[in-house]
Amino acid sequence: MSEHKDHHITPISTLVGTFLTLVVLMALTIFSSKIDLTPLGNNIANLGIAFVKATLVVRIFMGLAYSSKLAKLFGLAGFVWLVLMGITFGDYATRKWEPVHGWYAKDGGNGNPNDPAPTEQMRVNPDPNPPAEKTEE
Amino acid sequence: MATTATPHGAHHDDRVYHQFEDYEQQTDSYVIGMWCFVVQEIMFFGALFMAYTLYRWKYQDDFYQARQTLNILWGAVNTTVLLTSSFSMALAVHYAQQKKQALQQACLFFTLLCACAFLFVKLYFEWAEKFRLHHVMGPQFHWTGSGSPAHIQLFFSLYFGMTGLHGVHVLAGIIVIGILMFMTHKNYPSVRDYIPTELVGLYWHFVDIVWIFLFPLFYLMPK
Repeated sequence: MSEHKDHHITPISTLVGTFLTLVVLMALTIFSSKIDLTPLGNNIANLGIAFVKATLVVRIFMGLAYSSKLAKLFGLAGFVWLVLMGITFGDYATRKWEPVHGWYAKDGGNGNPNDPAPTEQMRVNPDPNPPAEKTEE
Repeated sequence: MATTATPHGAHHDDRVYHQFEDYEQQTDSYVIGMWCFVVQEIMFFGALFMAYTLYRWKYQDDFYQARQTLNILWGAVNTTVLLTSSFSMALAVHYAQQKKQALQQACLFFTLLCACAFLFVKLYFEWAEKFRLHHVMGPQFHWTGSGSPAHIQLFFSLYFGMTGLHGVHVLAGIIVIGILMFMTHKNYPSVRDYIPTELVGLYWHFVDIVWIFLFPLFYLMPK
């Protein structure tokens, strides 16, 4: 039996407990989505519970809590894309302050239609095809 | 058992291939190799989650109209089915570590059944209805509710793209679990250790985690 000492065996009671917690959390997320917590509150509740569930699966079911530090580092690397996502959204979220030509819906682009049309000063690049100026006849 | 001297002077272990120092290092290498794959898969899905977040941010009202056609009950059923399959997969690894092969096979078979049930609900009860109602993007698309049809189609493109890619992963899981069961049944030397079951388990739990995020993002999207 000595070979069983060199890896961690998660006890069945822990697995059952994790499974029941996951099911309760799923019921909780459905319940919370039915009550109005404002869109922001509902989004936080939805994603917050999803993160708790994912963490439980990663730590217990995937056994990262009992793995080596190197394995934990690789598990952590799975969150790197969130950083990339944050950087990309940094771009989109700041376009009101740092205008991008052609982005605004009222400028013919596919930006948020609720945004106001950019003023002439906000346009970094002038319109490449400006309407033909009136010429003297 | 004849003990042969290894280059490292450590005691010889039959389970350890010659490129590894010891059993612990070998196990760790396998597990980390699988985690590398899982992290790449996360990046793969991450791009789609990024696209989803961006378009939902821009067309929240239209996306909310479209999301109301999704059936939360079937979504909840499928979430429960996948969580249960993840649990039975964890049990399979538990029994594989204890070398209780019959129980391990039973748990793997149950996981396989759950995976098939998930795909059946997805295709038969959910996707088929969307085809019938012409909610699939493309020339056949027909939308009678409020909201911009172009943006509603964008929502369904993301819905079919993301749940479809997840479905493909479930299908791959079914194939991999099936092969593992067959090899365990035939008592192949490569699956006598618990590691193959552990690695298949890592993959399957990853598939479960993707659904854990897809479910609230699509079915429970607030206004």
